[in-house]
Amino acid sequence: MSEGSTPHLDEEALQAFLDGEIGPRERELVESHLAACGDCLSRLDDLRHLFRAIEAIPDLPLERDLTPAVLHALRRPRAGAARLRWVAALQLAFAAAILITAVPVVASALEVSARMESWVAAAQVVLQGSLGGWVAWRASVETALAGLWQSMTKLRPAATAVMDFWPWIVAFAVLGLMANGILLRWPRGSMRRPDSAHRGRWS
Amino acid sequence: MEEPTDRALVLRTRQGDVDAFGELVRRYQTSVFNVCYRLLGERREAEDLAQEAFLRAFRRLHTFDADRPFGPWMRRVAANLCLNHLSRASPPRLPLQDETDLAAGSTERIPEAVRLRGERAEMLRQAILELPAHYRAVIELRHFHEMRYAEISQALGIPVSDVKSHLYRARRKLAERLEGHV
Ligand SMILES: [Zn+2]
Repeated sequence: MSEGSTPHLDEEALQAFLDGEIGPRERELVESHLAACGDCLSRLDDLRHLFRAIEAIPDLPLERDLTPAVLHALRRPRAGAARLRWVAALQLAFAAAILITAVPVVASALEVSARMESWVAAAQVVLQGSLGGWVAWRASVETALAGLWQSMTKLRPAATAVMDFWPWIVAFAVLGLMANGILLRWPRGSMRRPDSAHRGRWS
Repeated sequence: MEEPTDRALVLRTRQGDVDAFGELVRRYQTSVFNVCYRLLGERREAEDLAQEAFLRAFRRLHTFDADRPFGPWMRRVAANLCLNHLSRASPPRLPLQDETDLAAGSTERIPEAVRLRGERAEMLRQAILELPAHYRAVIELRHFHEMRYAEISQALGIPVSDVKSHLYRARRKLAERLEGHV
């Protein structure tokens, strides 16, 4: 019923019109054509019915309540996370042990001021007081390290140049361990990967 | 006793009240399940992913603006999860036929017009499930999440022109099925 040569609206234009996805100028053209063309108007009506029918598909009932399972999963710490937490805790404990043992040695080797040393010693006394068991272990390791150090200094003058750096090496190892422990404890969400990993599918 | 609003439940969940989230699950599980079912076409899988969607929503609740309605956001989380799931599943899954008769059971006492309408809806549901996954995706996002073409394009990582043509073809197929039915 369009006048003369005016072509009918194509299906895509009708759909975009119903979706509200056409520009104002195109919209005007579509509207004026629809006002004059019963064929296109009835095609538009069919489409509108289809849209309504799609959106009116009723929800299917669930056959089981999902709530208990969801709550159960939320209350149970995730296995992976729990394991990570253990690894992190062990690592932090290990780092702390090294720290307690090595701090005085490292401090003296780095020739920090006497004041610092006394502070470290005080801290050590406190720590040892609360962790009595460490004393013996620490002392033995310290003795062993001192013995090793001495034999190195005596027997291999060349190696001692390299060995001058060992306190630094220990310090960095401890820092590395602690940093790693802290990172492992960090909430997972902060390292989330994007959702868009697999996109090619939708084209 | 007044029912707490969704917003109140969201806020309580954020303060660590897991039971408040349980109430949100109770309220939205059916609609969330239906999002998954429309996209996946398999009941068991849809239930599993609906459940997973709630867990994901719980973990991401801090990103949700509590002043907006919870339902649409929740359904979007579910849709994204299912779309990811579908795009990982290769080769493309075949539509499943085993649940076509869902409405067939107890229809005797329902008036004829309602029954016909119901049949039509089930037919349409099935027709959507039989669409290729990328057509199903645009139908879901456009008609059940009221997303704009640009939003769908972003969600699926395809150009707007593809969104348009997918929608066009998907609806054509659905219209043909309906015509064949009536
Ligand atoms: Zn026309």
